[in-house]
Amino acid sequence: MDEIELVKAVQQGNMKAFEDLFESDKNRAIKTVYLMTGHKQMAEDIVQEAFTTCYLSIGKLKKPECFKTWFFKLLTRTAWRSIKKERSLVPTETISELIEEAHLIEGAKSLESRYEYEALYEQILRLDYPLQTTLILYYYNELTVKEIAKVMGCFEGTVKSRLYTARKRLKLHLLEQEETEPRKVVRV
Amino acid sequence: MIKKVFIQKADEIEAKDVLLSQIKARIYEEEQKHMSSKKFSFKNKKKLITVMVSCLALVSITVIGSSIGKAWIGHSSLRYSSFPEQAVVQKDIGFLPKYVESLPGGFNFFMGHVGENALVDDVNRPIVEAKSLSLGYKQEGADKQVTLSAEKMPEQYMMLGEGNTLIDTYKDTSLYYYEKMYKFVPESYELTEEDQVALESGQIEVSFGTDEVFVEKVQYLQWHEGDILYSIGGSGIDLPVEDLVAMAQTIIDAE
Repeated sequence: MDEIELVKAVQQGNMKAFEDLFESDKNRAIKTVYLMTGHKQMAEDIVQEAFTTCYLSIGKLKKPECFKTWFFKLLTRTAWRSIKKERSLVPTETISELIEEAHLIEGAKSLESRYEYEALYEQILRLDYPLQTTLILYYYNELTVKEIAKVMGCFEGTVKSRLYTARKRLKLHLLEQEETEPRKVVRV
Repeated sequence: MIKKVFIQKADEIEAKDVLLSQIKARIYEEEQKHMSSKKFSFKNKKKLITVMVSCLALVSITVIGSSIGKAWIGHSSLRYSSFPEQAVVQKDIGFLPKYVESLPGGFNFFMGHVGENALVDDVNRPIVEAKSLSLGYKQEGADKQVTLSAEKMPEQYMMLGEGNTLIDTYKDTSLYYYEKMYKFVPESYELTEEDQVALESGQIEVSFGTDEVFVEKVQYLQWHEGDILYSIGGSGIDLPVEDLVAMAQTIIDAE
């Protein structure tokens, strides 16, 4: 069954169809929420809640062909609510722990790029939720601007504006960080 | 660069195998809450009771190994409006129980559900999961309905003989009978002193969730063949035990 047929079957209460829908979307969902929260346990709890709500309220979805945006909307809003409750979010590993681990197993070159990635991710987590979510949906989930607008309930122009603003802020943050904290490089 | 960052970070997590079971347990719990608070219309009364009869055999607290089962929770969906073929049932629930189109006493098939039940612990982790088939039979010219249900689960969870009585044996199969008066009441109902006395003495059970208050006798017969637990019965049917035994024998004899 394709996704539209699966969605229609779930709307009829077909649990097997829901299981199939879950299997096809579970990793995308949990990875998206993990990127939003930086916290594995929280990501699992949020995904659990989102899929539960999905099953219980899928009957309200009038157009099964719009399932993708409908579900992402549900997922991101569930994540936002949880994130707001847990204000003291901490990414699973700090930069210094990563550097130490990398010193043991990686060469200097790959360590530098890993540092860059973690530094960039750390800055993404510091963006406000709409900017952060826009970046994740655009770059990781590869949704179109139109789809992101539907997910986030805003205009397409707003999505483009957020992408521009987010990239600009990330660039500024990274430049500031380089000026104030010399990069630590460990030679293996 | 941003995409690479996300891909690298996202690789740190995968959905765990247990996630689906946890989600299903939460769905079942929400549906149970919804059922107990939902206003049932009079015409839905029979459906509620049909579903309930198949759950009445299950005890509320079950100790299995080191896990304490808190409750059985379940979900079912209407699947068959015509008598289902064996191949279809096998595909839908993953096993093939015995069932027939007509039962003694003029009862004929009219609808069927497939369902999933789970025994969960106090944090809603499933300990045992069981798929089930429930077939409804109406008596010609009367308002009586019986339900035949078949559920696959390990034998040690069947709890036969607990809360019901061994009354007959047919072809080496033990038949257990359960009968109790149930008072069905709306969610907002407050138990009277009379209700409390009757409850404590074991004269009645009370079940919340219907539109109106009514009292009916719930009867069913249970047996198992291997890892399939069968039950046949209903609410307000007032059938002699012998009639239920004849129905059970028909199922046991079916191919």
